[in-house]
Amino acid sequence: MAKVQWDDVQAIVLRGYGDLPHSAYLLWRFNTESGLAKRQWLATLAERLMRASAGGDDEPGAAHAGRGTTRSAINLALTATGLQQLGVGEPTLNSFSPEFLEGMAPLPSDETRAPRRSSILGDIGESSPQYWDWGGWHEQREIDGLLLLFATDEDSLRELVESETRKMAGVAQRIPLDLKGHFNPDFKEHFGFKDGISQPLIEGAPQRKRPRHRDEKQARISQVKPGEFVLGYPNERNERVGDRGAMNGNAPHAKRDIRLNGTYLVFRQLEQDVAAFDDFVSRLAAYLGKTKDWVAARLMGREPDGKPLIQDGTDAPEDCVRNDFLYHYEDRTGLACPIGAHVRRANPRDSLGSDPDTALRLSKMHRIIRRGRPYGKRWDPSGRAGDGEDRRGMLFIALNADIAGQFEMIQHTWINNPHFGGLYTGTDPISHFDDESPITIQRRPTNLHIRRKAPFVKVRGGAYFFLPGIQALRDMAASVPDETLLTASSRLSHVAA
Amino acid sequence: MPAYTTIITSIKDSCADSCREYLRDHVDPACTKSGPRCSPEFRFDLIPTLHFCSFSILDKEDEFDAYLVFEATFDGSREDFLSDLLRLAPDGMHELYSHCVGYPVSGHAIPHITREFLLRHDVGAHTFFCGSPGRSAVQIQDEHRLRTAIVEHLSTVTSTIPPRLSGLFEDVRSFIRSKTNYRWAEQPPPVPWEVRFRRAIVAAALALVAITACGFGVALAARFGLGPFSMNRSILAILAWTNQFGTILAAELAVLQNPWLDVALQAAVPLVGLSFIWILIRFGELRLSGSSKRPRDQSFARRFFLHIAIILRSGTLVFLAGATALAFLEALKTSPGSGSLLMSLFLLGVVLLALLVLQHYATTLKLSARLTKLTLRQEAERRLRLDLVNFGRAISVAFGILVIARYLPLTINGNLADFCTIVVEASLVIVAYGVIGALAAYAIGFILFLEIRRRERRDKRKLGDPAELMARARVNAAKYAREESGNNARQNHLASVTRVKPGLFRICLLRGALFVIGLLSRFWYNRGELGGIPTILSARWVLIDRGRRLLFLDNYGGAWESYLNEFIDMTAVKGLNAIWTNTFVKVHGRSYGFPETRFLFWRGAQAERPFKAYVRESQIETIAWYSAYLALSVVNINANSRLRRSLSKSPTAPEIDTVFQNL
Repeated sequence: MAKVQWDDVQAIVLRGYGDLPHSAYLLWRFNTESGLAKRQWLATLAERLMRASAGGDDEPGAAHAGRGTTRSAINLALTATGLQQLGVGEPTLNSFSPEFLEGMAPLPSDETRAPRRSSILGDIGESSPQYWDWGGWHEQREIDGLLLLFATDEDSLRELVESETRKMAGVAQRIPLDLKGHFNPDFKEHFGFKDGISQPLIEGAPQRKRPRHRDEKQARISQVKPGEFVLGYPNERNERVGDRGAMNGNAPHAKRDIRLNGTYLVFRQLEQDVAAFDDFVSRLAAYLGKTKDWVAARLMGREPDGKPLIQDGTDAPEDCVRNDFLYHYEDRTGLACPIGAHVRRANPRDSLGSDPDTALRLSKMHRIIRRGRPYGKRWDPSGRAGDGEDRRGMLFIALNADIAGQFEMIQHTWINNPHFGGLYTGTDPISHFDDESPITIQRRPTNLHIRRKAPFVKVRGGAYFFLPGIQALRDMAASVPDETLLTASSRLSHVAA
Repeated sequence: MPAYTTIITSIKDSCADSCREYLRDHVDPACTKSGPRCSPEFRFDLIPTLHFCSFSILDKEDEFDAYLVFEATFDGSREDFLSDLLRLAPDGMHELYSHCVGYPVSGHAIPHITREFLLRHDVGAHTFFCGSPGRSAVQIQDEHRLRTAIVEHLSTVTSTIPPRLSGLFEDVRSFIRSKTNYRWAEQPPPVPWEVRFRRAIVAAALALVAITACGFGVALAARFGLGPFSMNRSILAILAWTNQFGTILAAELAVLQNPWLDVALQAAVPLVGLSFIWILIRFGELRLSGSSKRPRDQSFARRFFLHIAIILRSGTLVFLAGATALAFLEALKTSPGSGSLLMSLFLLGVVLLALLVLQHYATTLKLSARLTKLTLRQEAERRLRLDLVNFGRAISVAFGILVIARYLPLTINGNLADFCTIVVEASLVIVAYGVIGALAAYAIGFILFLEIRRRERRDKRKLGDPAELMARARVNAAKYAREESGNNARQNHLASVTRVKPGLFRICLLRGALFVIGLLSRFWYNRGELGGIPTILSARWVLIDRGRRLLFLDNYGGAWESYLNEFIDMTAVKGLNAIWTNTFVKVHGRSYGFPETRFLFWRGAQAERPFKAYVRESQIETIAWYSAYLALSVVNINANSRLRRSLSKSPTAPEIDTVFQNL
């Protein structure tokens, strides 16, 4: 099996930068004219980007060469139009996946019907791209690129943002949109749950050395082939993207495929209505005579501190954020972790279908690496009413090699699907999509069916990006755009419009 | 099984566009906040027998005309359905079919002329699958209403009565009894005979296959001068030959001078050789089956020889039984043998003990699969052990019989013994013919598969690589803009048309595949799944244009992407490959083949991206589509039926628990 050139992959694929809790996400449009300036900027930027091999771990306390020196990190992702602005021509562009080319929020062709992609993502109603702050149908629709900046504290982050913005002065068309995210010290998101526990492990990725018990089971559950997250390597179907394609035959002389060592990055700004969530949970807790944490855990599928909901007796108490559990033998009916709970929908492990082995194998084809961070101040339950300006939520980032097969598939077939796992009604209680049918919580003697008034989450913006490999960026910076480019870009913008 | 009709009519020249416009504006139900709303011209919702229907247009290309395709799945007869449709949508149908060649002008005034016209153009389906066979559209919707009512009732009642399961279930029953509009649910629903006698039908089919194999074997053996008597002689010769193993072993061990062992070996002589062969084959199977269940990891070579090994192993087992029976009869004919009775009693005790131990071990093995999670390797080993244990049990029983026979104090009438011997020998001859027939059929199959492979390689050279179709994603996107949104949020429709590769060989292969899948979906996959896929509501395959094109129309639950993933990653991929490997698509005069299959069943659609691109290319736009139960999945429909069936039974507490957990 081909070994992944981690040296060429951007570090965010392997690292959540847990040691760099402050982050900024700059979204910008390129200046259309300054072709040379863009390429010069890209050439220098490519050398400043954090690579996956530079530090393979974000487990606090794990010793690693060069670890202590990391005070900040930069990663770069581009949209389809961004690639085009950097001189990527039509045949190469067409080798990218159609959903990436089309973008997260294509314009509707007629008024009455939401575009197919928005329906797939559940971006309808309040979450419709119509109302997005950026990337949607109206406000700041066009985005060319995303710069992900990470730093240890707020001051150094500000410096980093300033210096990077300065360097982009002639390149970016307007003041970049600047979103700030940060980890809370306890790694909890705004609804109060510890986040980022369940991540797929990439087979053969540089890993922490400390061996732990249960590692073998953990690997069986979470270990996924590198091709699911890095283009150019075999995936769970034992196929690879990028071994043939547009570069083949269309180019006069064989060039390196720019998709190699890259991956797709899904970026979404999800606003959380913590007050409404808290209200819903308290009411339901009062009605059922349970604690708020009990109710919240049934919606999420994990306790707020990250402890999974598994049957008594299968639990080992000393390790509370364990992730090495399965559902089929332990909890098929959902009495411990409800079938429709968020974590069970987002990663059903071995629970779908009659054969757990096949189910686990199939679910591994639909994993994502999550690198999101909360934004905004924490909600204050003492209720300084009227602080409507004080918005909060999640800057959701997912990495995957196949947006349609991974991120989108999780959205429409698992998260937004009322028929998930044999259910009749209800979608993910934590997600932004609501088909107004009651959610089901399994219980003895009979199940609970609960309606929520409105989703607690709203999509405020989003776009599909490509996170290129370092060498691909160097190639882009070095290449001279040819004449066909102009026609290509005009055609693409035609489609985008 | 619901009835179905596929009406294909030629569209007049240059009328295709206006026909499409008409379908879009006047036939397709609109999507509103409160659900789909049928257009006033086409009130599909007023036809209670209708499950699904769709309209699509096949564009004119090359030698093929433009066609209007109308597909419907309904209950009752075609005639009644079309009469209903024409009664409820007289103007709409007239307007629509006025675009078509041969539509009678007087059709509007005299509906039965239109009906005749439609019936004349009905091509039915070569293969039809239904996810919920035996249930009418009304029943499906009623059972869903029943479930909803029960859920609502339970939510009001749980706080007032003690949560005892049986009490709760009785309460649900009395609730049903008290409502006149749900009282029907107390009667169990009718079950179609295909479903009720599923196992019997499969047994009959297997018996038929066995008889055919025997017949084939007889015919074949006769050509080589192997009549029943010479066959019998050969069998006896073979058995004598395998007996030599036992005799040799007995002679080898005779040096030990152990009378106990000697007695045991004397009895076991007929068993040793065949057991050895059986065990050899079983271990060979372990190698062939590999340690992976994935369809992706299988290959023709392994599967083919695995089948042959299974046939030979089963044959060996029968011969073992036959050899035991013959030795038993032989022993009965002679007077009680030498050796002490005590010794044989001891041996019988040993056999009994062995049986008990094996029984214990077999139970352990059976349970181990339920209690713990086994890897595939472990699972293969477990199966092997289980087989060995079962074989050990069979051998023990046979050995016991032989020991008894040697010391049984009675002898039976010579004539009776002769008769029994003849019966046993005749059975062995029949089985031998069966094995020969099966092996010969596999040999023919092998040649056929080689020819298929030769053609697959040739097609790969001749036809364009479907991977190139991936670049046409954006062009094809317009065809499926309706998917997964609006009325199609939960159920979708896939219409696809592909060209059949030329030549008699291909058309025979395709028709054969369709025929087999048709049989399977009627008699085996009639419980809601087709080859492991639980999302197909109804699907049909139709050969059109005198077998030159294949039309596939499919109603499925969920989204296209996940639906196709199921096909790619489950066993159903074999059926899919066997059908579509015979097809190709044409784009701008260039032909692109289905992703290359290996020996008909393997690879093909497993090349995910080229396969998906191929499907998108072959897809045609579904312009108008209607479903009677949009909010239901196949799993829901079948679970609703189970719920209703449980109402007319007296379930145990765990069964009631399962019922309630599914609500």
